[in-house]
Amino acid sequence: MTNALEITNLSKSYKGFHLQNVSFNLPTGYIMGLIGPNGAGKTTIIKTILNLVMKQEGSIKVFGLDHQKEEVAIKKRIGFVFDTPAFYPHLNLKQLKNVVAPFYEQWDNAVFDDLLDRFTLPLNKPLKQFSRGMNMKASIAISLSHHADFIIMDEPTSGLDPVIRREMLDVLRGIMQDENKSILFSSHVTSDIEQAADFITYVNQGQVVFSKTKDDVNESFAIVKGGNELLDTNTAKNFVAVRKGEFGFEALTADLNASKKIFGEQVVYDKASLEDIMFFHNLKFKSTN
Amino acid sequence: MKIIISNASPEPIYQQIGTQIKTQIISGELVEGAPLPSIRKLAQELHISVITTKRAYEELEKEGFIDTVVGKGTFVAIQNMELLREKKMKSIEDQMTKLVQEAQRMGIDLTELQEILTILYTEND
Amino acid sequence: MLSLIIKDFRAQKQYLLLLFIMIAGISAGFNIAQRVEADIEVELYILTVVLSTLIASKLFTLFDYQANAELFFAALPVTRKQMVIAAYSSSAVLAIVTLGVHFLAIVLSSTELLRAEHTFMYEAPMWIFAFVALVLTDAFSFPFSFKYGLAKGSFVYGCFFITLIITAIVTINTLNPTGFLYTWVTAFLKQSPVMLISQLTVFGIIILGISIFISIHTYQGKDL
Repeated sequence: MTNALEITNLSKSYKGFHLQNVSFNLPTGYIMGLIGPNGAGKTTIIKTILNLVMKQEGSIKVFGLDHQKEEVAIKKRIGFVFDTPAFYPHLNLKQLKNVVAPFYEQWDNAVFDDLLDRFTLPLNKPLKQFSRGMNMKASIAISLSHHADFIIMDEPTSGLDPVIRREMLDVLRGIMQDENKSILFSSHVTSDIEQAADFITYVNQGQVVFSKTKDDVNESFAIVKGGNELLDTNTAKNFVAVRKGEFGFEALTADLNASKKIFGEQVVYDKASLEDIMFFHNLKFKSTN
Repeated sequence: MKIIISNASPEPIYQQIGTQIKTQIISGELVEGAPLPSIRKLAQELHISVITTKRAYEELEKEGFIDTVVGKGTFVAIQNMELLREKKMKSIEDQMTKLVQEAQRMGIDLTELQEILTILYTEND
Repeated sequence: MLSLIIKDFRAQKQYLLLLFIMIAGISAGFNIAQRVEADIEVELYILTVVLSTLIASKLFTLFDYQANAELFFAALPVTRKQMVIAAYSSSAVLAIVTLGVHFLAIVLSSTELLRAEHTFMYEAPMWIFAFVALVLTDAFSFPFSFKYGLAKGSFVYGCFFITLIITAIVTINTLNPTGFLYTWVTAFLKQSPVMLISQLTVFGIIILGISIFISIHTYQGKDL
């Protein structure tokens, strides 16, 4: 099985921010969600893949090719969506298409027109009159119109209402019917990732906390709730972080089976949502800083 | 083919799919050689990860319920009649085991249980 | 690569038209004013031509900046090298076209069509000065723009240009007719058009070549 994306020991430092030893792979044919709080490094990772930002250490391979040595060859097969769509506001979609299409040998007008149809986007209205949702849809349409094998999206659904977000996810699922396509998208809307992603990579403070399949995440993480008397320094070590309340504690475990062995039936095990996972990890990071 | 998943159920989704397909094969709803949707199609329709559907199919294939032919797709495997009967029996036995355990927990003895079983069986005929 | 240069012409068509109308207006205005009133300083006109051409040549860069297009284009299948060369090329094409519009406007607004009335239009020094000023300003400020972004780059741009103009004005006014500089310039200008053009071309190529080289290396390491 080939990897659409292989990142090994990626490091990049800015003033006050460090991306350290980021490593994860995305096998071809799957969707990976990149989650993490604002400022965690998601956008930086995406920018380094596209060589918009220069990495300092590490290697990045897309389709097995080095992302810098074969930059143009790779970019021909990549569709991208940034969270602030950069367009000339006075142009309409038809004119924008005429600007962008010549850059891609595989541009397909039929696909573009079909997408505009599905998204109900007007060809002749200037972009400055588009709502944010329409702008995003336009970005996505463009990114999907040149038979790209790898779609990279940075916060593609932020600022969109739930109905449009669902539409977007449906479009993404449609793309994934082709097992040669792969998608990487970053989002802090965890419910979108929960719905659409096959793999989840969680980044916090410039480091990868975990990179697993969604099933793996669902099966290993859980919220453990029990009486405060069950907590001591030993048992607390099992958890990522603990929240003590008046009537009991709430904790996140990263190893449900281990916790079951320790606590058995004395506690309640609840499904941990991605939001829970991020919340408790944040607690952990705050306390160690 | 009908598959309904519950996100709230404690049973992992890949197991839910597996169980439902198995049941339909055993009951004859899904006949031998019937085509199954591709893992990707199933994932898209159920709004779940393709890794989940892949796992469900892998388990079913291991247990001999389905076959995947490269280039053609996935189909309900030719069921050895004996084997199928055994699987059906196993399915009933599994359910009976749960029943027995529950009954024992509630303090219902074997004679009572047999009575209930007889009544229900004759009612349903 | 061509797409990178053409993209601006495609995308900014309506603004180009507006620009050319303004440019034509400036030159035609000067020309007609000349006829109606007393002298307008030729130097003022030359300055206006060069300044307006400089600004016009940066029009596309300005639009890209406003639209945050740099990030978008850098993610397309193009290299940083191509982006640099495209920027210089757009600037050059725009400058040449703008100068052309200036010239055309004068010619078309003259009482005798196709014959500019003011001899300065035919005087090589004006065009040579314009060319040299444009080449030098671009060559000097582009690397700054690529390293520090358009805002700071424009600042350097403006400063350099003003320095250049002041130097030119001071030099012209304090020129010693028997001095080395005067002799050299007169001899230079006396050459045949072919010689002049080829020497200026070589000058342009060398200066811009060095500038492009520096810009490419700068831009290839820049975080966007």
